[in-house]
Amino acid sequence: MRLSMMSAALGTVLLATTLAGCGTSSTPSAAGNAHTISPVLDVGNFAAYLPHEILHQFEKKYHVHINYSTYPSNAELLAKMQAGQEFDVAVASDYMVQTMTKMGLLDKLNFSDIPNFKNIAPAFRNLPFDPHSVYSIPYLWGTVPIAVNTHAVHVPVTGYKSLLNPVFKNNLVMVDSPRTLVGIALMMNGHNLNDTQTSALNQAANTLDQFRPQVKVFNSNDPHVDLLNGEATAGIVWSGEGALAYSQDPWIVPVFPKSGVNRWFDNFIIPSSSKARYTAELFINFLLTPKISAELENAEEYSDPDTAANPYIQKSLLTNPWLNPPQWVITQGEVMKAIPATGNEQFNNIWEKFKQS
Amino acid sequence: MVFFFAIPNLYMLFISFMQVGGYGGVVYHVTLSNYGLLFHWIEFKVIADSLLFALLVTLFCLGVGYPFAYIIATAPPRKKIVLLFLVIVPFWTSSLIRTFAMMFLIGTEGFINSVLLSLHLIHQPLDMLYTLGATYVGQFYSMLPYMILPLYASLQGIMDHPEYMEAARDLGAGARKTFWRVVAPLSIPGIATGSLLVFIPTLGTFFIPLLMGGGGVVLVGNFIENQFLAADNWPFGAAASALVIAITLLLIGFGSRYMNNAFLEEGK
Amino acid sequence: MPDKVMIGLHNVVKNFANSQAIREFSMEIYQGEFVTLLGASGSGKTTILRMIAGFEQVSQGRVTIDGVDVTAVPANLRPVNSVFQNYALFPHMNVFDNVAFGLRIKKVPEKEIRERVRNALGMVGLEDFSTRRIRQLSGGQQQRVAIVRAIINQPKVLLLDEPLSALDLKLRKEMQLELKRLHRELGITFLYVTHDQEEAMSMSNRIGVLANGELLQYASPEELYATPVSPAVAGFVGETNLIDGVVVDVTKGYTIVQTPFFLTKTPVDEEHGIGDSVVLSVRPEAVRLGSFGDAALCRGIVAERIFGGSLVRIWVRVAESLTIQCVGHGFQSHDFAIGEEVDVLWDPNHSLAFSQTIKAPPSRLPGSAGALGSNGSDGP
Repeated sequence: MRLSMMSAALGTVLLATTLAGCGTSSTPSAAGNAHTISPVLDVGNFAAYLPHEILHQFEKKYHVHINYSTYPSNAELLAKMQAGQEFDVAVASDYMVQTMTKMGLLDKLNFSDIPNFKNIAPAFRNLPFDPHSVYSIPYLWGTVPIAVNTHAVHVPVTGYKSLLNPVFKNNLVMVDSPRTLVGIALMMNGHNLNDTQTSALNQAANTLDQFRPQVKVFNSNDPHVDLLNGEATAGIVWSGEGALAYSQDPWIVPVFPKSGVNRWFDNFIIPSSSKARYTAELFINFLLTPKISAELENAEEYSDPDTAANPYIQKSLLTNPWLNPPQWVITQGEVMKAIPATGNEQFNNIWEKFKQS
Repeated sequence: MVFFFAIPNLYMLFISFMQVGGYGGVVYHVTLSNYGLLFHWIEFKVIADSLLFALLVTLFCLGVGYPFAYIIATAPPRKKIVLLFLVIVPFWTSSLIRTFAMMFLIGTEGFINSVLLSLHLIHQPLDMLYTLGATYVGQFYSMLPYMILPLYASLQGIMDHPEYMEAARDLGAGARKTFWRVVAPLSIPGIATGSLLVFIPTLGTFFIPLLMGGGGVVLVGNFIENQFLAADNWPFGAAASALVIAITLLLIGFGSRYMNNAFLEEGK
Repeated sequence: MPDKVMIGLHNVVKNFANSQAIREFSMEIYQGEFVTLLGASGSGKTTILRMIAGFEQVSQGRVTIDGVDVTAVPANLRPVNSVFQNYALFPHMNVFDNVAFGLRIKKVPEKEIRERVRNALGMVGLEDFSTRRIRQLSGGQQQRVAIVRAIINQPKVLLLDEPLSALDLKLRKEMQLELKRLHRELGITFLYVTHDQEEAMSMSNRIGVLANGELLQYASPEELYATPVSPAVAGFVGETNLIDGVVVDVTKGYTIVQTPFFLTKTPVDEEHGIGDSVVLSVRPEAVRLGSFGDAALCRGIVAERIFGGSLVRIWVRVAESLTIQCVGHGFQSHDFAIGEEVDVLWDPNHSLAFSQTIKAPPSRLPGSAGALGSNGSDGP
């Protein structure tokens, strides 16, 4: 069943290639350079990541029709772009921004058209995957801390090693993400989470293996359910999922280990194939206006890099410890960078072996 | 039909011979290495595990489905309608929703544990969800109707021609020998159809191991999904898909030899 | 004929959900006999056979086979074998395995099975077909396999349920001869069910005529033909002309009967009183046509004439309500043309009178619905 879905998706890509074939050969930014508003804007984003109300507001304000399409992963966004599907503006994660930059798929942003960039706090500028804030602007961000149900657990949890305590045997929920978890194992050993040296990765694999008996469930989609249902008393989950669990059970709290916390960013990008650059920049700028940004944050419950939006954000979100980590995490949390495919394969092999053991 | 079926699959086959790019994506250089990778230990184990999983689920479904189908086929008309209705009802809900319902049943704080705890039959909740056993139960449950219905159709055809069973009785066979020597062989088309209908989706299943097995049960469907969505290695995922499709086609080719129903027509 | 009873039915009753299929049925079949149950569909003949085979339980009464009460014995333990109407050959087995089925159930050594199957197939000329699939055989070949599959088990009785009904006429004749030969050679008791009176007459030692779950008459074919006990039996066994009348006198071994059209006499074989309503039965072959002057019973017009090779059939319309059928050899009857007026006459000794209050249906022209004795009307 899954196979046919997969091949159907691939088929769509192929069709897109065929249909859009001539489009890619035309000069990319003929109309885009002028400060004219295009009647149509092709927007791409992760699924269920932007309230439609915000899109309607933009359409109304600028008389633009938005073609909104979604993708489940960074990989699929990349594949769609490689296959020739055109996005005027899209959202991609940290390491993928860097990958696309290296592949020459992105246009530099014209910041003079995005004055609201001033609302982005300094801590969220010049991030490692785009060191001079040239190609991307953060959309939402989050962390991957430890989750502990302090009502059910009565042992101290200070770092990742605390999770090896026998009380957590077959009791952890972990997101199913090789880069995140192998990255944590790297950080536990004092390495950078982007380290692809074989020796560092071998060491990380051994560190990770100790955790296998502790893990009850790998769940990237809704780990908050496992925390709330008592399937897991602790784990390593997306901050947004933790925030969701916290809002229903405030005993479920985050722990940010000193050995290193992964900080992730999803970012606006403008692909070089964009034919409506100016309109795309207007769109980014619109989303960075404090009220709109707050609307986004209130709906999606992640952390907002647009600190000017804070006055409009729900109080429960501003006080949720999952969405408001300590300052040292905001400034020192480790960020994923692009790693070569060979390195990616090593991360994956370690992870597959880990899950199956 | 041909267009929508063939094109995506041909494209996938094409991708499976390409290389993965330096930072993910697909590079259009022909290579066989993706298929070579399938014979590494981890990948090989995933495929072997999946085949074993599909085989066992098929056998469980056959073992439970056959008696059930037999009971339906031999039931009086009114009871038969009720029983058939019970088999068909699950088709009205998405299997994803039924899987969530099952998760609710067997969860740590789920229905079964709550009942057992409140009856003081257990003092600690049983670990049922997120185990290999749960994956088997989930897959078995979602596939059982696909086994029962073709078996029922086949057995009903035999019951509609009681002369075969009467002939066996007439020639001295008791109930057991009549079943094993006449009814069972005549129902082979139903067994073959039902087994394929269970085996093939089970081989490619990914959401039941994910949801019921807690992601720790990695079958080839999960592996493929992972190659596409997490590992950014489409060519490798495509090669694994191509292998699964090849196994599937092989099974269909083999099974279709036993699927014709000419058995019952010629006696007329 | 040895008079050892092989099958005994004693006051057998069979009730189905809301009807009584068989009522108080008793019958005996001797060892080595070829007995046929003859009746229209729904007469209960197949139900009788199935109760003997054990596929149906009797509701009341007893069934014995070779002196043993088998009323409660399951089908697989009864010493009888069946040939089914549709043969019921196992489609998933080849010819050999079908024939060997019964022997394998009895765990006969495989070597002996091979020999016996080969011999049995040889008896019906199918020795070279043992590895064929059933669907590769013609209807006649399937029929032979079905018979061989049953008789190889050396049953005490072979039960045959309309075994030839699916075959065409020529093949049916061949198989009739073949069955008679097998019966003679094997010495097994045959109980045969059919609705075809000609088939019943040509093959059986005795025929039981059934209607509505009752045995009307059980006798040899000759006896049934010559002295049917009722118009129904007469109609079933061959064709006959039935004419209503009233007894006006009984004298010198004859009953004098007045019909609406003529006065005639018929031999006394049961007591009729003066004034009784009777039905005269006259076989078509007893009727003579021609110019008989005062000897003629009545006159009529040739309404239809069918040339059938060795025999010619003529229907003579005597009145609106009476048409008399006549069968004669071609050379005797070819003179009569449609529309011609002829005299009708028969030898009183070849007629019968049945006490009858129920009005028998009138003889009709061919092609019209409900021809009397329809079972025989397409016979030679």
